[in-house]
Amino acid sequence: MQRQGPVAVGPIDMGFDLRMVGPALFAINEQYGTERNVLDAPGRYEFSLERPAPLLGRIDEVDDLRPVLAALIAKQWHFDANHYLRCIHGFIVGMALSWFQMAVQLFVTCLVNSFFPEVGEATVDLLESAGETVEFPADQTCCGQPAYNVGLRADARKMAAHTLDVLDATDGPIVLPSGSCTDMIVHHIPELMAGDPRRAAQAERVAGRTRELSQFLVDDLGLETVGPGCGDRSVAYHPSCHGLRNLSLRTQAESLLDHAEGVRRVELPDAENCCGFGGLFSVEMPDISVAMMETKLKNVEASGAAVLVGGDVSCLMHLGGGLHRNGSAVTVKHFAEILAGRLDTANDD
Amino acid sequence: MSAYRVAASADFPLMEEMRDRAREVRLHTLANLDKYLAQFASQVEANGGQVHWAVDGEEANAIIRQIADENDVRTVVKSKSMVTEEIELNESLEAAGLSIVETDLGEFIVQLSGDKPSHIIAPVLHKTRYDIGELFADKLDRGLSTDPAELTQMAREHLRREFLTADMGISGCNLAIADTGTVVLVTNEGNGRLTTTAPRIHVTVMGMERIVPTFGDASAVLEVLARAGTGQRLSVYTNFVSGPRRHGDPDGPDAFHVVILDNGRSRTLGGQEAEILACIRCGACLNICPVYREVGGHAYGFTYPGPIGAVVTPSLKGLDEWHELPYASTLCGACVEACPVRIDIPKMLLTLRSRAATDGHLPGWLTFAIGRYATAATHPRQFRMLLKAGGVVGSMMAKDGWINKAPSHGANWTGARDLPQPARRPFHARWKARHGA
Amino acid sequence: MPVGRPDMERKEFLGRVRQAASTADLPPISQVAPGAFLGDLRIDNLLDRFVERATDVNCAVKVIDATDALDQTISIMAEYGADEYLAWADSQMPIPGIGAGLIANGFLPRPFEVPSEDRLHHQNAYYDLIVGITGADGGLAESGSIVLTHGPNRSRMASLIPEVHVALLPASLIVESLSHWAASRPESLTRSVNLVVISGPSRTGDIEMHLTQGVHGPRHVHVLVLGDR
Repeated sequence: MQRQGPVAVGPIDMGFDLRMVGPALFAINEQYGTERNVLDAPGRYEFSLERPAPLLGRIDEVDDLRPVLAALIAKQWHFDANHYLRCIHGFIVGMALSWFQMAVQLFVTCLVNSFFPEVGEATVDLLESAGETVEFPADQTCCGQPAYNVGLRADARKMAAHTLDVLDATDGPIVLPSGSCTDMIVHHIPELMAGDPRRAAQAERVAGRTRELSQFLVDDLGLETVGPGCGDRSVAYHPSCHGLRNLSLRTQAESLLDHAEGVRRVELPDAENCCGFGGLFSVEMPDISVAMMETKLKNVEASGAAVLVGGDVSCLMHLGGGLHRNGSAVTVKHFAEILAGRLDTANDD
Repeated sequence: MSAYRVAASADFPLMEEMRDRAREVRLHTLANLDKYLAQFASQVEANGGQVHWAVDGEEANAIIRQIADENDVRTVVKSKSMVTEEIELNESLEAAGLSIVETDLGEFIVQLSGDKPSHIIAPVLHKTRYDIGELFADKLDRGLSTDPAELTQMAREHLRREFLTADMGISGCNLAIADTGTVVLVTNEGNGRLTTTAPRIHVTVMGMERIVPTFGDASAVLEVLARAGTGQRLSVYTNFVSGPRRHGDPDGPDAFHVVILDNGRSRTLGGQEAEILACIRCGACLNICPVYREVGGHAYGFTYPGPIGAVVTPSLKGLDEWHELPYASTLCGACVEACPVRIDIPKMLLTLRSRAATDGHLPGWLTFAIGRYATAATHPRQFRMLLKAGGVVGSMMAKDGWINKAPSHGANWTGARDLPQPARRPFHARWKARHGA
Repeated sequence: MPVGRPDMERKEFLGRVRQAASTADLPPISQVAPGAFLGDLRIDNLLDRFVERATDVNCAVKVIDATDALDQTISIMAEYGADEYLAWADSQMPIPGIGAGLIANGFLPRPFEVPSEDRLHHQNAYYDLIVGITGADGGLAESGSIVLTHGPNRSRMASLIPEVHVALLPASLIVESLSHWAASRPESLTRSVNLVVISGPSRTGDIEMHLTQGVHGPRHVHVLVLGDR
């Protein structure tokens, strides 16, 4: 199935041009003949979203979208009536393809859930800006990383198994606002489950769908910019270790920040040096942890940034705690908050 | 140091391929270690050398004492060898009445001052030129100077006499080559060459894992070793010693002994941390480790500091005594990036931690807390209640959104950092409010 | 201590190792055939790269015509005010007559034989030597190193004890790297019990990371590269 020129699909309230839909999708119909309903043709479909930003999507095999179409038509959509009559068929296909199959599962992580819910909200904002539907599997808790890192593998396995059950009951990409938790799900949970064939297969399935937020936005969706950005701010980006070294995360968030409205990104000296959090290391070896934190904070100061930005709230909690104790004017934000323009939300809403 | 190291690698286009190759060579050798050790030993003997097998440090020291005894040895010069520190060889030989002189400048200084080295490659990183100047003025009777070049010259002159008159030279072994019975010694100062050329007896102490199959394999490892450790393309002196002097050779030792040491390595090889034996002791992981940078070498308590020590020490000597070391890391992974043979140190720190936990070395409060958390995390309703409770308790303890004094073990956090207040409305509650599910 | 039963020890030792290797938890690797790995290291001009890299590690490198070798050597002797030298025998030098020429010019060669039965006496005599002169069996362009193999009439001390080491290296013997050397001269480790790869003068950074030249080995290394560009 060839993509026939630009095809615009997506939520209408984003103001995209519906007139583009008809000719393209009618071309798809023509290929199959008017007798055949494109929905009957199994296979992979590719389409792109022209506005607000290019979005490349891929749909896997479709069995029967009709019940979904009925639900979609029941929702209220604003569109150009003239074109609607011509495009209804293609439009519905487009809507179904984009909305039903591409919902993103948000695994918000226990730290974000409990301490930084505004980061979760910013994440949802960004994903929706990118044209995604976000779902939140309600029974999610913790991936098991704290137990795993300390050596309590039985406990880690329990938490991991629960996480796998919750996520495996869903479809579509799983997106996390955390490099270290993504690393846990992608690399360590499969290792933990290696001895149990059923769990191991489940772990592989889930790992294959799991992506960190900047990775998803930039590498998967091909976005250069997302979200409204913020008022004039100088920011320095700290690439947290697990994401940096185990998932090659750095340029994605940096590029999103570089293209964001109002954001001036300055280089953080020795950015790759660990901040000293290290999970329970922060309370088990507090002197070393704090010494490493002070080294990192000196570099933050040297950068001249007003905001320290990162992709892991664990590091940010540690560095932010130090900055606040030191009475520094530098604030700390997850990159999702900067990109979504959520700078002034208090911790408690 | 690290900027120079990056530069030296940037002009070597084969660096990444060579690291892969060096890693494969080392892992292949470990998987077939007995075969290569057997081949090595046969070749050494064919070249006129002698091979001794030492199960542990005590046995190794006894062997070397016996060699010294059988050969009327009174004075010994040593070039730098971590494995001889591991087995405390110097103390053993001194107890037998021998005079031992360390010849690596840093080790010489350490020996003179009765101290211990703090870094694999730079043993006296912790001493200033003033410390050293005073030491030399006191012990070498050569007047006071604090100029590094002058101090080096003093050491050179003093140690030259020792080299040229010593009965025995003891060296370590950076790499052994199995198919030619060769011991490779890598130094910058030249003390490796002098130690193994001037005295009539040369003894090499070798960790049994320090071996590769052929000259070509050794070359691959050597080409990444110096670059990773010190930023040099090759160290100044790479010596390949394959036996005592042959008939007709103008100089060189009359006897060549290799002491192959186990000392816990076979147990490590048979276990989960086998990969650590691929280490070639280049020191790159130390240079990059942020924890090591803060605490220095002495804090690690044993011969091998830094990331490598955090795995090697508990592996060789047991977790019972050394269970804290694997926790002296944030698992940042900088060491793997720096390691010329890409050893996955964080992976092994995690397997060691898992065994430490199983062996009961974790504090009771931690095991309890994690256990409770795991139970909550497998019962979503409990979990949500836990978060809600956290929000309530947090708001009681917090002021303007921050907690500056947490009770019990939390005080380890709030000693120097503030703790943000747990959200009164966690994310799941906000989502539910907005979406109804 | 059981140091008198080597065969038993060896068998037990290796048995333990074999047992361990069989249960070793090692990461998987592809089939490795032992031997040199050359990769795609392409150096356009070996001589130029060698000169550049050897200079980098603080060798004094000069590319000269073979006929100038004696004059250059004499001039180095004069530079350091040396009357005596320790050298490889003339027969081991890459060009004939260096030793004879030095003697003819009034310089005194030291005996390079160190008999086992009189080791201390002969070695102590080397204490104050200023210049040592050797040939070289190879050059490594990538690292700016010279390769010396030792054997009859080839003193190790000559490149080790003196303040200054002068090495005569035929340009045709320069190869790309140590791996290339190992691939092309595998027998070099069996034909000689002592081979050394020298990459510059002796050095240390042990005192406050301050780089000092001339610790135990030579303080100055002069490489005279013989042959055409």
